[in-house]
Amino acid sequence: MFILSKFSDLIRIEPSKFSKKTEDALEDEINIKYANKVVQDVGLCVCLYDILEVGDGLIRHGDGSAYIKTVFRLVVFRPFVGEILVGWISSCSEDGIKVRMGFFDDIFIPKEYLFEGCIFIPPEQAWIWRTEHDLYIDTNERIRFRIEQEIFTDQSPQGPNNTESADSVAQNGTDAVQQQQLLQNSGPSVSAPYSLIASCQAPGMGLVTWWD
Amino acid sequence: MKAEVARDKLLSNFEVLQHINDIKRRQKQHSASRYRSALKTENFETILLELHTYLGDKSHSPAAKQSVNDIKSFMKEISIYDLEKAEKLQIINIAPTSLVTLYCLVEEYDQRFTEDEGNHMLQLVQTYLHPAPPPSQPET
Repeated sequence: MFILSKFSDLIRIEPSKFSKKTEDALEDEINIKYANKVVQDVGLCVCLYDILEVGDGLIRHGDGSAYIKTVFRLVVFRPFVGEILVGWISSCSEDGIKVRMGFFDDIFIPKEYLFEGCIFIPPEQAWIWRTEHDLYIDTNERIRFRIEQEIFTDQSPQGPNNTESADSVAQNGTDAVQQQQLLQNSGPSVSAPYSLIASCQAPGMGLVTWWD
Repeated sequence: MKAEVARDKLLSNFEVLQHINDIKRRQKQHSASRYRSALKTENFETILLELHTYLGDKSHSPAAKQSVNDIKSFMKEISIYDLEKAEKLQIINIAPTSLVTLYCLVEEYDQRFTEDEGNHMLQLVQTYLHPAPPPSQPET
């Protein structure tokens, strides 16, 4: 579920922070810059783990701050494809189930990835798995699921030329686009920079209370 | 900014929780002497709190009750089975209490291990990893 990622970055320390120890100042700046942010193709950064190398502090013309080249490792949330995780159901819709983990909420289980024989009951806003007994999949239940796909959406501002960006999306493969549309239909996570597609099809998956 | 190695090492939930607890302890010691701008560290505080809620909840998260020695002894005992690193990591994170949960953590279980071996693994989990007690079935 969590990994360590190695980064190198030029960290700026303002003169007002020169009274701190260098490591402390660097730690604070790194946490301000990275904590709770998604880095493309890396994952959701949690916090600094350790600092590996600290370069010399350099000063630029016209700026009193020290710029320090630093190599460090971050704790990053990046489950691998196939990993089993546990979360809570935040909402059910016709298209599938949205799952939250508290610190990370952009997880979606599309209906194609649910158990065979699952149906959606609109008046109750819940899914039911029809076996010998009807098993309810309801909001706020703890659910176990498997990661199938990870989607990173680049959020850097797009240029004004719409035709060009549409072309580039088309080239990125229709599969990812379809999944994106699924996500878009399912609620406010349209622009989530990092989202996960999960499945719930094998024995052992689904509500934790079913199996334990 | 440059990501040198995106996946350097894997961390278990327990290690992450321990790291968060370390940070909180240090914050307490320094809170008086170190200047912190609440606005700037908002993101940092938010994720620490949310992650601590997820990992530190004793009734759900096995990581909250595990210790370094527990995990060391578990790794020693489980090494008689030929499990992949990622599989062992998931067993430690989830601490399965039933065979069916164990089956979904271990790939192609039926071809690699027998049911007795599975029961032994569950026993090791029970001894060392402090799995969450089976939740009471909510009546509808």
